[in-house]
Amino acid sequence: MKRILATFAIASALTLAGCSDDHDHDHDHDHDHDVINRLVLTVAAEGETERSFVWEDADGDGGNNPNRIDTVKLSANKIYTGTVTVFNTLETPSKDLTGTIRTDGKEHQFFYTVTNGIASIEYADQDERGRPLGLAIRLTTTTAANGTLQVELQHFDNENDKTGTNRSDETDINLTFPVVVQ
Amino acid sequence: MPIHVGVALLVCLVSVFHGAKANGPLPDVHVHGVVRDSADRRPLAGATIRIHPGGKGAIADRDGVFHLHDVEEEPIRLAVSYVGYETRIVTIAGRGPDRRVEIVLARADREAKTVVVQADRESAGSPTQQVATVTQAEVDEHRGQTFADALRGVAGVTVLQTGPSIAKPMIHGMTGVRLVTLNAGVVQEGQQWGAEHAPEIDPFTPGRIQVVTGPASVLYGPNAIGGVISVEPRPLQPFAAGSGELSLNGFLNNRQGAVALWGEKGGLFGLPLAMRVQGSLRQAGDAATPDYILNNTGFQERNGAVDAVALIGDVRLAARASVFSTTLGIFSGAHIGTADDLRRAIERGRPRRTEDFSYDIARPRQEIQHTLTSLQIDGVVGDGILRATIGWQRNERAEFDAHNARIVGRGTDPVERARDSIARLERSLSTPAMELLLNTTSLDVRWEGDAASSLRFTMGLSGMHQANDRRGAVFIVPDYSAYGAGGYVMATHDLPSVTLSAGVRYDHRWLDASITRRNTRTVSEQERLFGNVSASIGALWRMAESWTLRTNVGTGWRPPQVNELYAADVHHGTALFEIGDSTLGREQSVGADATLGFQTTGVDASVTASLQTFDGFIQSLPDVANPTVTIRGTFPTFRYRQTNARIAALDARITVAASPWLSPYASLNIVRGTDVSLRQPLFLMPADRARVGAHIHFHDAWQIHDAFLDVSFLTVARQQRVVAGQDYAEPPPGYTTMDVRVGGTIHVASLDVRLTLDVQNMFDARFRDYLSRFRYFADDPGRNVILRATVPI
Repeated sequence: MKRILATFAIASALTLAGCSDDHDHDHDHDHDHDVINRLVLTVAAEGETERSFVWEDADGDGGNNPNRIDTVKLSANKIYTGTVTVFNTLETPSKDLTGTIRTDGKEHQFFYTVTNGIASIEYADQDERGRPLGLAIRLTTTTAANGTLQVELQHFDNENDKTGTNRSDETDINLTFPVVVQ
Repeated sequence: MPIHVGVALLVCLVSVFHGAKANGPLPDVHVHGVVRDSADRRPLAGATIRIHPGGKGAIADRDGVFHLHDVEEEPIRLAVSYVGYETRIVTIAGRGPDRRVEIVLARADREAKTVVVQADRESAGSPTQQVATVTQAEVDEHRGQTFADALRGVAGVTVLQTGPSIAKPMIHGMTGVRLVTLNAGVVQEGQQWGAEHAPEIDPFTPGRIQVVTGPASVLYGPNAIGGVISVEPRPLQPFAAGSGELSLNGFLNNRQGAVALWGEKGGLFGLPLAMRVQGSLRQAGDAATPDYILNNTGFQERNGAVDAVALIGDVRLAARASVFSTTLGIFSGAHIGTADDLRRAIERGRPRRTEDFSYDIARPRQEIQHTLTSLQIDGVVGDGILRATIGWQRNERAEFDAHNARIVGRGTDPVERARDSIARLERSLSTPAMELLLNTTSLDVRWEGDAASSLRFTMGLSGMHQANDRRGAVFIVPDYSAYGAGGYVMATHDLPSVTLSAGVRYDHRWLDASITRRNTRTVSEQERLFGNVSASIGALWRMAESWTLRTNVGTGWRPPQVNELYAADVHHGTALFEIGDSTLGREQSVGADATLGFQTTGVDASVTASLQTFDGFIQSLPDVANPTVTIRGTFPTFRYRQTNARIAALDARITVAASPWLSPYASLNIVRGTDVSLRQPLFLMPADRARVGAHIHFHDAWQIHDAFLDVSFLTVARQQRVVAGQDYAEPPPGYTTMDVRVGGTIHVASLDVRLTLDVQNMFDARFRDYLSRFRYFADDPGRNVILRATVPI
């Protein structure tokens, strides 16, 4: 009994005294965690000037709803090359996060969904393992009509879960542009 | 830090005391026995056993078995009483520290109607309220994964579960902010508002747990609107003989091992001074459903406590310092980004990926540390006893998200930028998404005394100060500072067949919160004041020899909690935005309950019906018209609102001692919650449930003392009362599980070893409970085999 208590006393002294208590008053944590709050879709086609469309939520998740959702205006029966860039504008200067998605391409994939049959979209890039990534796309318009373009970015915790067609349980981006094909 | 050093020092001091020569008075004695009917020898569950004259007491459990520890008087005389029986004073013969007795009581002459009233002044509720007591033996036999597991057998109590490691007790569908948890007499102050925040209590601490399944606002203040759970450590006497106990638990399902040790000694330095040191360690890995492993559901717990009791003249001082610390994993399958992700997980029906069993705790996880220091002073003032309880609590909670940290380094040079991004990533991974530090100081002064032979008074004052410090990127509770003050008086009048009680209380709360606006990152101060009266009246009517009727009517209120006022963030795991309303007012409640009890030889039965109505019931409801649109998609948005609500409950239980060794039992719990304004059911109310079982007890079987076998079935119905479309998934179907327990005390190497083998969910049934927050994506754990051993040392 005595020995057990003594052993226990030492063990307790070690474990309990080991608990740290240093609460530095650093309210700066949130800035280390980068969030995307602005996406720019840039399209170009032969005979047309390059155009950019912006989707932005200036105050980030929560708070006010998105402040800018451009209407994507395209011409009928054209082939466009498209590129997507993403930013964190909550900080000054704003940061381009596109490179980190390209670097971690094996764990990411964009998905594009167009309604009303106004266009079709193909992947124009791949990750290191040859699976689609979607930072670069080819967009082929058909007839003149109105519709929407949904852009989703899925993050895969485990790169083996990415097959090129399936979804993950973690969505980084899910936004919708209105589209007018003239 | 000072507290930890203090605990460590005390631990060392106590071991020094133990090295000293024991020079206290006579060794203390443990008396245990069984109380039976003299005619048919059936056990008398609920019989009262007290040291005569006027000492401490015990209540016989459903087998008639009682235990009295640390008996100091010699010769030992016990007063044994039971409703409808002659009270007996018996002298315990024999020597030695461990004495076993069998006491038989004779039925009282039916003409002599003098019923002895034995009011238990240590009751957690008012004398007219129904209070369920979980005894030391029952706590030992039911100790499970969490503190709340020991309460599963109490009528009216269900458990809100977030994976195997987080369990919150629920009384009649009310949890968290509508319940008060008392930890050694001090109101436990953690982050109770979160459904995934469990009470920070060591499952090895309780010597006894009392549950008041009804409003107890007059004695405990506004938050006791739904009930009280009072956790009491083992009693410690100033002249206690040196003793201790080692407990070992093994759980097969999640390969959990737990060890707890306590040792105590009184009469230190020849003074009326006693100390107890207690500690426990628990390590658990991933839990398993019948079909797959629930990854990242392990936990690690390290707990310690030091108690000291001293008598200085007529004044009794009791000090306690305890530390609860845990690191627990949150099931990786619950790591959900958005509502669409959640829908896909529900459609899949099971986790996407299950890894092999592991003890590792990855992200998401919680790290929690709760320290509680208290000082209780009891002294005789006037014709009563004055008790002052001072409590200091510090609750630290860090929650780590699994969200992928997308980090960009800063700087102009690419190498510098790469280095910076690695440093930032490491910092981000070790930084909690939310970190809360809650400090609470409380003072409660209570005087209990007799104004006349049949009239007793309890009056008191209580004060509290609390400060919360929030850090991190999550804005669910703000920084705040709060003060509370209250005063109350309760009177109890005993008449020959009726006990009446009435009480009134006033409370005032002052809240000053610093709200950070997310978009502008500016801080604004918000000040709110709340105050109101709580009141209750009740009667206990001993209608006939075996029948009692308890009725209570009470009003209560509670101020809105800080999260209900100021929450503004997404809840990971459920993928919904929760938005507070800073204009919420107080929640007002009127409740009535009636308990009909029947206690006679071999039968112990009660039925409780209660109805509680709420004016301004605070709940978060989906705001379908105004979802939160983010770049990650559209999130369902819940806003805190006030409504009029009604909660009705029916609890029934019966134990029949059919023979000296066989006691079948059954219980039934029904709760109906209704949003009266919207004419729809309240969200997340427990489904109807019933338990049927039999307890077989042998006083001595072969070499086993107090041997028992307990077989029971729990049936839970499907929750039918839901609002279509309000929840992501339909409520899961009902289920039935079978539990089997065997145990007893064996004598090994001059030690009495108490062993229990507990098989929960014997047939490995696949099920999802409606109160499990992971019901959307995974089954509840399957069969668990638990071995518990307790050895006195």
